[in-house]
Amino acid sequence: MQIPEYFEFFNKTKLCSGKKALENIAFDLRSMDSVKPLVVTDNKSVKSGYVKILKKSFYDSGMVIGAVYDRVTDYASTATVKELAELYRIRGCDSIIALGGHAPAAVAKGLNILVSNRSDNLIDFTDMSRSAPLRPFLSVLTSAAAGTETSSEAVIDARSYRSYDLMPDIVYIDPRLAKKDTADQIVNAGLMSLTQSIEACNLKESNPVKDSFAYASISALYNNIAAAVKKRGASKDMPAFINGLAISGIVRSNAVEGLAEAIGLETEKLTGFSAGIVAGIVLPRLLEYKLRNIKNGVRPELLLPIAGIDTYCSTDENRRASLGVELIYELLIKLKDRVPDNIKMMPIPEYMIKKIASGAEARAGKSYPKGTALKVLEMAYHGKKSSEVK
Amino acid sequence: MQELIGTSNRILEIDLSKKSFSEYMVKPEERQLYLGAKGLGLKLLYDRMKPGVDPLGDQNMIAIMTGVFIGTGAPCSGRFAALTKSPLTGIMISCSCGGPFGMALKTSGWDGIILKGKSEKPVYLYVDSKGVEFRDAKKLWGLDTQKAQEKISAEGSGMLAIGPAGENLVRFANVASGNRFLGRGGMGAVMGSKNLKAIVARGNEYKIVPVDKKKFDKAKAKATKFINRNDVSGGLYRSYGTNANVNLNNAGGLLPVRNFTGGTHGHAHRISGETMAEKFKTTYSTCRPCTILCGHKGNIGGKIRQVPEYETVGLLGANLEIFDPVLIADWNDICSLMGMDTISAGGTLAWAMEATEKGFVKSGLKFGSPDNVSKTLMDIAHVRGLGKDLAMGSRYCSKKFGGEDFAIQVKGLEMAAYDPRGSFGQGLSYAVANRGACHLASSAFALEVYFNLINPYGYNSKASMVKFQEDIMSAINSLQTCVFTAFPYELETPLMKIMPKFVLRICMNLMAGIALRLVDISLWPEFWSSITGRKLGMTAFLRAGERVQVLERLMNTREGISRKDDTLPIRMLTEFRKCDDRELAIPLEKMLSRYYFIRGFDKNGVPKKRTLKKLKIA
Amino acid sequence: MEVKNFPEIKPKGKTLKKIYVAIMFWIVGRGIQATSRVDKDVKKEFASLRDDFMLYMHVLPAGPGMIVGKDSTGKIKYMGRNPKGKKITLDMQVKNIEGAFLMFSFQESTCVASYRNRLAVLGEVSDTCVVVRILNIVETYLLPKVITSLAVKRYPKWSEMNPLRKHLGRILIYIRTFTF
Repeated sequence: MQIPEYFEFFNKTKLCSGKKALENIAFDLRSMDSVKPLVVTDNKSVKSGYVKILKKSFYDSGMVIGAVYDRVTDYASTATVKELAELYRIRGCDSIIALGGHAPAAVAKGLNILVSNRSDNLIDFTDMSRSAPLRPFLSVLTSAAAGTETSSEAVIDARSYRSYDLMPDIVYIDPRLAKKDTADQIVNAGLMSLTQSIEACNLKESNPVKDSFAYASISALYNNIAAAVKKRGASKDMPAFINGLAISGIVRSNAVEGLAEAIGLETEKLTGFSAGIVAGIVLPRLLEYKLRNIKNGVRPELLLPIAGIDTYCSTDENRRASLGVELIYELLIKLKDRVPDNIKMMPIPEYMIKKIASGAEARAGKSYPKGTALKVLEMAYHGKKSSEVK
Repeated sequence: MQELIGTSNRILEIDLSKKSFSEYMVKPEERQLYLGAKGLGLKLLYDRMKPGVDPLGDQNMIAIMTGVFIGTGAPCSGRFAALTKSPLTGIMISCSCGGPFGMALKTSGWDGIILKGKSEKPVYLYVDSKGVEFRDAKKLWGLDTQKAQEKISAEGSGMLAIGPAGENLVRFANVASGNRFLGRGGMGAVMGSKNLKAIVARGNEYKIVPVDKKKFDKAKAKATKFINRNDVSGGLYRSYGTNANVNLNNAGGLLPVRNFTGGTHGHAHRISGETMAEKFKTTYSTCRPCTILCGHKGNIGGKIRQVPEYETVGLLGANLEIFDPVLIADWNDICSLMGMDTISAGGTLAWAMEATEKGFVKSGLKFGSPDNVSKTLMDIAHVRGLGKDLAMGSRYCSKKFGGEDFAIQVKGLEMAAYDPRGSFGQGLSYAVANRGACHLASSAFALEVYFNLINPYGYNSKASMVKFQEDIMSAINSLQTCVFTAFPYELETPLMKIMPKFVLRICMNLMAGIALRLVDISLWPEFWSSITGRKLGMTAFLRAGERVQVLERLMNTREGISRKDDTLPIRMLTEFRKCDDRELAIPLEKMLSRYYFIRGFDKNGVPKKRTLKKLKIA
Repeated sequence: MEVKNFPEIKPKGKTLKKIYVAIMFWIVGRGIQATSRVDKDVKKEFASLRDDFMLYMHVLPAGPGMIVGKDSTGKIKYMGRNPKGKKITLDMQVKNIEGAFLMFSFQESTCVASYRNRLAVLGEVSDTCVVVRILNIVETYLLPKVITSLAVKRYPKWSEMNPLRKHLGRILIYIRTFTF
């Protein structure tokens, strides 16, 4: 493994994952000098029974929960954050627990900014260097996780707040909270995180620490996503899948945006379709394109987390990268109930492709030759593989 | 004057780039299947326009269609339709207007105009029975809508003109015809992008005569009787105008207050139709010919001017927490002169006020205060300062500055002045209406709240009711006549008069699909067939409406619309107001699935091939 | 937003689990005392510990616990539940009642529990290993093989602890645990 001339990697999140993980919350809070947490969650978690499980895990811990706010909606808005800040102050809380998926985590991060700085104006902190140190923030991942909970970014009201400080101090993953969620949500989150992790370790600027985290996340996601969609109940696959999402959030905070991810996000911005599914369809085609046109475009080590050590060792060195890409295609076929064969079927009209491609290239296309985004999108649009196109 | 029997079937196709024109004859099957006005215009655009064109580019087309009713003297027939691809929403928009242009165009011997291309320099069109002349609009460019129309009034009996808002490509600019407007969706901006300032039609060259005069006169007598007899058309709207809705909405929790955070207000009576009629000594000022007479004018704040319509009073008044009718009339005048849609302007201003409160933008606007409202409206019309962003509509602004949860729009079109949390059927209607959050697509609130025929908070029957209403409205807009005729023509028929109200209510709530089939809607097809001489029964009439609706939906899905766009603003789905004491959430997903099923769409909201074949849409 | 819609939540207690763990602590504490008289291996282990060794094993924050330590004569005694007035040299804290329950219902052996960070230890790490070994032997005596193999890392082989010694020791320890 090559150590680059210079690199940086930051992770402050402790992962606490497994049986009865939630019961450790009280102890961990006490060791961070906190006695009254505020729980931020949404209606979905209440309906799935997760809030009840969280409350029960506090039994006999001697710790009082300041309040459980369950009115967070799918759209993280500044109004919700301000309401929460008021509740936090009235109850005299001193730490925050986010329970649920993408929106409660984003809102909790925004809340942390407001209460740690004793401010009422979230907009002042789009530049997070002005912020004071943040209060203890714990994130409890559930089956509704999206991979953004452990990242260093919070998107509230179309504004992005970025800082390493925003990453949660501790992340809890408990199998009791990993009951099956809607399959679309699982596939969307899983494919988006997989895309990010794969792109993160395939960049020219890479470092060994980021790579190990990325491989861990790729392995957990790839091997468990199909089963998590199919099986019912808290089998081993769902918690493993959530672990993969959590780790990918850490990778995401240490890597720049990749092109497939940018294409997915642009598509969501312009048409409203799920970013993860589009990114998942585009990813193998982008990797194929890289294989053919860019020297060392795809690392052969990618095969290891995807296929396991036996396949890796028994495959010829020159074939490893292309086998890795083929296995990603296979994953899409396994998920074919939820993932269409091509972007045309979604349905997205053809004329939108150019707009999406130019937007994505502006965001993340600097390290690729000009026009890559459009070529790859066109392949993904018709469902063709690179080998079928001249 | 020559006599024109039935309808001319001539469409004037004008190419602004080449400065040329040609004539197109409407085929008999097209006329039979699409009736005219909105339906026919949609079909003509479908055949000519590809999906994905830039609404403000030269590939976009405008269709202005007159239908067969106008000119015959049928009651409330002084209306015409216009269709294009909207720059505000990115999908098809169809508008209807009651000004003098429709009559002028029809009596010049044309059934419609299709505009394409883009003129190099500002131009206005002169249309008569021989064709069109391209005249230099240098002296008109920059004038407001009334001055521009005045300047060319000598050349013809009816005009269309855009104001400075249209010239500056404000995304919700409208087109004036007299003192009526082709309001929603930014049609003015499309004309502005083509450098087309105005169209004047000579008119008075033909007299329109129905083919079967005897049948026509019989239908006209019956219709007039119904209109005069009906409480709404002959009573409420005739006396107080559309502002009669203010008190009704206030009682039903439908009034938009403070950017749709409230549903009622103690001061609502100050802007109600009853108060305004008394205070301003209103008289009639309506489309010609009209039997309902809903338009009024009066002495408002010292000037004789048009009384603002309900939507203006709702969105530029109650929604901004302003209850002074003189102020609302002032702002109505600004929008009329500049040529801007008052609904979208009011909705965007309300967003701006709430965004200012929350610190997203600095606009100097505040709820309940008239400060800076006139200035902001003028800034929007001239696209300067914050007006440059506000001119793009509330969806664009909320995506740029934040605050998507309180941008009250669907598919980009700002919501009209009826809050769906007081009428769930209206919520479904807003979500699925083809042009965006349109209240005229099905007017579900009328059946649910005004006439109390369907439980506003239930889920039963909503989908069937919305489908039926949408089909009827599309069919009426394809004739074309005023949609307010729905009140008398549907409710004054013998069956509806004898049936006791509670029986009607039970039928509508439990089996609307069947109950609605029994409504007698024969008056409209009777008119149409007596004018054109072609056979049209009730079923074929309703089927034509359905055809037009599904064709519009097909054109929208080609632009990328699907289930994820058939939704309501986040505020409507998650927040409750003080007047929602039961705090019931709108069951949108369930109603949407049911609606798709009975419309013959797949679960993504795209019309199935089978449905298209059944309705004979290519 | 009405603040009263979001009330404070004072958590209740897990009474049954607490009682079970308290009983188990008593048994194990007395068991250690008894085994230290009977078994020579345990005697050797204890001899290697310091003279004022005092183990306080308890559940946070205010759960059941046990104190086992050397008295003034050097003999191992079970000293009850209250740490007041005693000088604790090794404080083994179980982070929560669930963790203690897992340990004492033998779903997780002591080794696994400490590897999974269920315990927090204040004091010498080397002492901890000694205590775990002692606990293993005590559990071998107190419990049938089926349960003990879940609780300890490595069940002692036949050569290390022959059946005669085991069964004889077991009888003696039971008598000593449950009587004086």
